Amino acid sequence: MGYPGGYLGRLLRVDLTTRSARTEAVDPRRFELLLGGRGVAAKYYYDEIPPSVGPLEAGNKLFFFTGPLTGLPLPSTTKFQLSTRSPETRRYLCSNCGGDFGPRLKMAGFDGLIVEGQAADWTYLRIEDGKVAFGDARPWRGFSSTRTLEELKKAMGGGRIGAMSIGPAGERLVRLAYINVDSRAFGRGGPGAVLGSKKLKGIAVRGTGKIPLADPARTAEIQKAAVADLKTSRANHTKFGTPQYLEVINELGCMPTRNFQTAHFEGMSKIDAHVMYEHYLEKNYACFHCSVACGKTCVVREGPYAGARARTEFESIGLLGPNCGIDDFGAIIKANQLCDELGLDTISGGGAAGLAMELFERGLITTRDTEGLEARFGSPAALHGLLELIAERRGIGDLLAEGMIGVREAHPEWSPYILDVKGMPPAAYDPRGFHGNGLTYGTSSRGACHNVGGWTIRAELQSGKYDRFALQGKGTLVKSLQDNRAYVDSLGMCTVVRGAVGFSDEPKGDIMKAATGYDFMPELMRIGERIYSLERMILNREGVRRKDDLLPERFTKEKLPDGPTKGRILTGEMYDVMLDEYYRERGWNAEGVPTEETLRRLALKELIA
Amino acid sequence: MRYLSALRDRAGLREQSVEFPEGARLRELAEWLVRLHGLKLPDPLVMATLNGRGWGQFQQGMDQPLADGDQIALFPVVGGG
Repeated sequence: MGYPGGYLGRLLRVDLTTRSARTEAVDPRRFELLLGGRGVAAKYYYDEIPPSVGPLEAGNKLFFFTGPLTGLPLPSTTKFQLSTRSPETRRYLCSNCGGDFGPRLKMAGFDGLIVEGQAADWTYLRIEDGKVAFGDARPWRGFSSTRTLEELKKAMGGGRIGAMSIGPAGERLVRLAYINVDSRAFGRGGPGAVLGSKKLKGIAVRGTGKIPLADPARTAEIQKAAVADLKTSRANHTKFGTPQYLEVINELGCMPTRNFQTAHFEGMSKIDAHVMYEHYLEKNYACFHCSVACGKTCVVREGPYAGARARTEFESIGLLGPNCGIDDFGAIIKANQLCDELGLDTISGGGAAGLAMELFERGLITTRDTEGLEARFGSPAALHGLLELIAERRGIGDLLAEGMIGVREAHPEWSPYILDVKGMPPAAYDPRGFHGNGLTYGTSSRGACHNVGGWTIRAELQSGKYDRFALQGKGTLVKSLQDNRAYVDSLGMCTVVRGAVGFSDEPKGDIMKAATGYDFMPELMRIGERIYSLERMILNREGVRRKDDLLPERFTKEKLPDGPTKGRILTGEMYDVMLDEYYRERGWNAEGVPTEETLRRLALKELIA
Repeated sequence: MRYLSALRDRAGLREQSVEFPEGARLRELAEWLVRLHGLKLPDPLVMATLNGRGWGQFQQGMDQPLADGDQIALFPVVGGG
């Protein structure tokens, strides 16, 4: 069936090898079963990326997909999705991003953009409505991701555009490299290295078309009510952004500290949201059509890092700060800026720096490996130097640039200090303090991610059903959160505003009917479940089984030594209880493979036929 | 009592010690919060913990007894980073 609103019904496919582009229709049945965004991107990945294709090979592709709400006059309809084979995890990667690119791509007339092949030399892409041009990016080689965005804007002649770019880390195929999208990010999993392998320095898009809308009058009413709701319900996001959670997660004994050696950071009062707000906040930033403006541009006004500027977030501060023992907010902003310029993911970058610091303090690496850096916890110079070593592949940085999988392969004896699931380092929560969060990390479709895996903290604190240290019920909880997230990632709307328009684990309201003309609401959780099992089929095809869903040694063998969660641990036996329940809830067998009955129930048989 | 993040602004302080009569329960603490800070719990935008557990997670609910050295934390509802 076709839809009167929300979808364009076609995608743009660009081949860098042949320097050609063409448009293709998208089968509407894909939207019916998978909604858009993450779901449809996963389906294209399933069809076009066999397990034999390596992440940095020409055969890998980037599947960018918007959702039905992307670009519509509703709150924060900024999001679009990427699937590709991850250089960091060496497996399927899904990634979600804000900024202007997604909405502009839709205004240019496309639900999706597929980039394939490999350019002969450094190239950038210009998409202006239906037209594609290949530009010479050789002069931009070595430019930071932020400067490249500026060059792309100049090349497009200014105006309202969306743009994405990579920095030097992506050019050097660092497996922690991110894609900078209008100063938001496809952060995790190293997608910047996929662009680097294709010699694609950036993409810019301008669109002047209108996105069809089924019921403009009703949509305007929903928008008005949502903005009023968000003014109250997200007031703290507007004032403090995600850094508001720093103090809370630390108080709860879950803040990764010194490479997760403990979960309570003694220096929190020097780096919390009030410190940011009172001393470093320059201005708020809003993504496309967002009234919340949770982005916080911070600037260092004095001291050794004066002039440093970055739009920092909770996860970035957590991993670049406490996880590296850093209690100087200016030094954290400087580290965040370095990540932006070099083109590194702040979470994986902070994880890698934390690992190097622990290895150094244990005497397992020395100044010979760090080009003279005293790589100790708490040293801003060490943090900044390590990030540069990684991005430039110098010294120990060359090994860290291979991601946690590469480090473990080279030094299996370092396993007790290496933290990752499927090659992806954890976000800024220690699962010994919230056991459901352990299951989140273990079963996320892309590795130890708090978003894709289902963010349990609120339910584990607030719901009478799920005590944070209990095991029973966590499989049900995590599955529900994951399904919820999977459909939200497929809509094109930011998770921060979803509650204001009726998106939850019990979707209600008429926003989908107003936007697309079809009432998806009763089916959304089932669609999310379908997407999650489709992603699992991809991972299964790439070799993932139960053994790959397990947690790193530190969480399962070391008790937290101090702080509010002192003595807490999540042993392998405890974890198995949650994992067994989770597999049962999903309809997967004991090895984590969807059963035949599950494939039929979720119409996956039809989808992969 | 610790007031975290935006709750610090609402309460006007970062932390304070409070003494209640022997046998006091969460209910008395909640009444005290209304009197002192105009903070009425439960509030959908505020989270409250007692020794690291949500108030709503105690079987006895607001009848949960308080003890010497209990740690109370109040903070805005959390929603992912």
